[in-house]
Amino acid sequence: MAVLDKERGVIVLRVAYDGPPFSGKTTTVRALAEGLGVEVVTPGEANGRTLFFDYADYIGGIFEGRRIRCQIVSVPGQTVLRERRLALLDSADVIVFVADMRESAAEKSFALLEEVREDFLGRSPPVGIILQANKRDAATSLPLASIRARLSDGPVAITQTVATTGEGVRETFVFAIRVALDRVRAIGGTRGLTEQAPAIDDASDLLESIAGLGPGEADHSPGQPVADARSPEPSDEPTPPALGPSEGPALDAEPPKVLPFRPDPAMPGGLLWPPVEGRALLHEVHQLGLVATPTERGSWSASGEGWRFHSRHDALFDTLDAGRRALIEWARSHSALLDELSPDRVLLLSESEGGHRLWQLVRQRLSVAEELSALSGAPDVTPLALSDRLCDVAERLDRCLRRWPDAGLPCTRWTVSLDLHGRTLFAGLMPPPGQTTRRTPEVRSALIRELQALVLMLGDARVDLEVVAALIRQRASSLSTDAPIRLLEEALGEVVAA
Amino acid sequence: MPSEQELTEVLARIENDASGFIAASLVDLESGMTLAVKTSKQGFDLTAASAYNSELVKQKLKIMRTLELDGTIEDMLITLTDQIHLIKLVNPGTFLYMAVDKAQSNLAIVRMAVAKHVKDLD
Ligand SMILES: Nc1nc2c(ncn2[C@@H]2O[C@H](COP(=O)(O)OP(=O)(O)OP(=O)(O)O)[C@@H](O)[C@H]2O)c(=O)[nH]1
Ligand SMILES: [Mg+2]
Repeated sequence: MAVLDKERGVIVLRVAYDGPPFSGKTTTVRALAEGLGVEVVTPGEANGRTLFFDYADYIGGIFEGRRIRCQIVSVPGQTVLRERRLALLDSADVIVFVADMRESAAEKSFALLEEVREDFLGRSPPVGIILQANKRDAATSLPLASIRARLSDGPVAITQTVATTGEGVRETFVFAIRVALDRVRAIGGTRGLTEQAPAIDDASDLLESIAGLGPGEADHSPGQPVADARSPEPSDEPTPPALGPSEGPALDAEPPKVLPFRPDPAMPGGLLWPPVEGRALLHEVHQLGLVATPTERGSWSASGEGWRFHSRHDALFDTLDAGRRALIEWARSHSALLDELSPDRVLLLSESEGGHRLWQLVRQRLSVAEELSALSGAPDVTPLALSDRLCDVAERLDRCLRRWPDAGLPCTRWTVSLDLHGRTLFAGLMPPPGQTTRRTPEVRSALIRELQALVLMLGDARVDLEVVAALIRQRASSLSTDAPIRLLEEALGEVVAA
Repeated sequence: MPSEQELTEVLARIENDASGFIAASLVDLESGMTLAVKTSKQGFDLTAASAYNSELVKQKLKIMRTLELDGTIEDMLITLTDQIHLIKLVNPGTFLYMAVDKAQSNLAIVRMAVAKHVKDLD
């Protein structure tokens, strides 16, 4: 159930991926997480079958002025694990039902979907269900019309995916968030939410909450993992399995003692970039008293007072020489991109955990997403001002999407920002220097995705969105169909129609 | 790439061979970061000097590109009233920066000391 975590200023939503065994839930969540740039924690698997769940945590989007934190959970499909599955589904704000739509498997999917619908559509307010028709690449995959025909008796939205390639996965997720937010609206918006930190804050909490639920068979002791009938060998995994160090702290082990990081303006030269201005900036941030601590995933971070400190999980080096080599690499990639980067960035090497940790300190700037969200909620905003900003942002995103990925800079509504002279700057955390080889997203589809997400944030705008849409339509009418403003018009049109 | 310690040892050998030595550093051209430093004079801000000199080299390279000059920079010399500063390109991405006291040294000594050891810095 969605909650309002006031302390962290986020709305916490749970998106559950349900479906029959082997339908592609895990594959879906992994593809999604990769696209979102977050990690998936999977506490246990036997022969590729999920024993507990897959879990990912993602912060993105804004609702009524607050960031949205999504807890993404996939359930185990095996029938013997039904108790765990139901426990995981119970707290969902929206269910993405992953169905195997190959002819041979479709009937099973429809039967289970029927059960899920009875349970969740009957709740008050109903928990939305999206049918994610998966394995669309298979030759025997049912045509969409037949699926629709089978579902004539109830409000279930359908999306189509090929989870193994990731096709359609993100779109389904974005749609799911929309549906989950509809439910939040139905209980009165943010004001209707319980104010509390989420009872389940990470994968370990979640594991604890369901580990006691056994497979429900007499010959299994409770909590013992199973491999179902199709699996040749029973698993001998312990229960509950400890999460490996890369996935989070072990459940019963004390995390290793580590000292928090605080920038030191008196640190030695040669370990700091830029060599001169860097030290001046360190004096400034030192006075803020901001202290970074490790996160569950092994990275370190802190933010506040207009600054953000970050160190990747893999940015710890045994020797000073190795650390310096990495520092120089990072410094070079910063220098090479200086014209694109937001100002006031510091790289440094500090002693930590018995080695040397590489840090980036970045002065925070409003991203275009945050700026638009603020503008749309401002009391004196006008439709003209909002449409102008939207068009400008669409064109900037388009330009950055063409330029940045080749240079290794991720381009999203959260990384693009403007300086006082209207120059476009990269305001995100820098990725590691070697990452320039990453897959470059297709510009048009990436732009559509960003614009859709941006206009979704305007749900609470203090102006009539239909007027905004009309103004944008007017501008778009003389432009080619591929123009960013055209794509913006379409994205906004969808929201207004909904 | 040699370790910082090895590089610092090379700088020490240059110091030995160049009378009037004040300071020397090996600098990454692109980022202006020092890879190794050696100084015999308190209060000489070698980190800042290295960073500013990398800007100088980059500017000079840019000028050469603009003028479509084909050659490469071998070294750059700056003579102050009391000091000599030499910048010697070690490879296209790294340079040695060195300052000596003019009263105790001369350009020939500096160039020789550097030429003798520069290949160990690459
Ligand atoms: N051809 C094809 N195969 C897929 C697709 N999605 C998943 N698969 C395959 O289907 C199999 C099952 O996928 P999983 O993601 O493990 O399924 P699951 O729903 O998590 O299974 P349980 O955890 O046991 O419930 C794997 O072999 C996947 O590679 C798809 O879109 N097309
Ligand atoms: Mg699975």
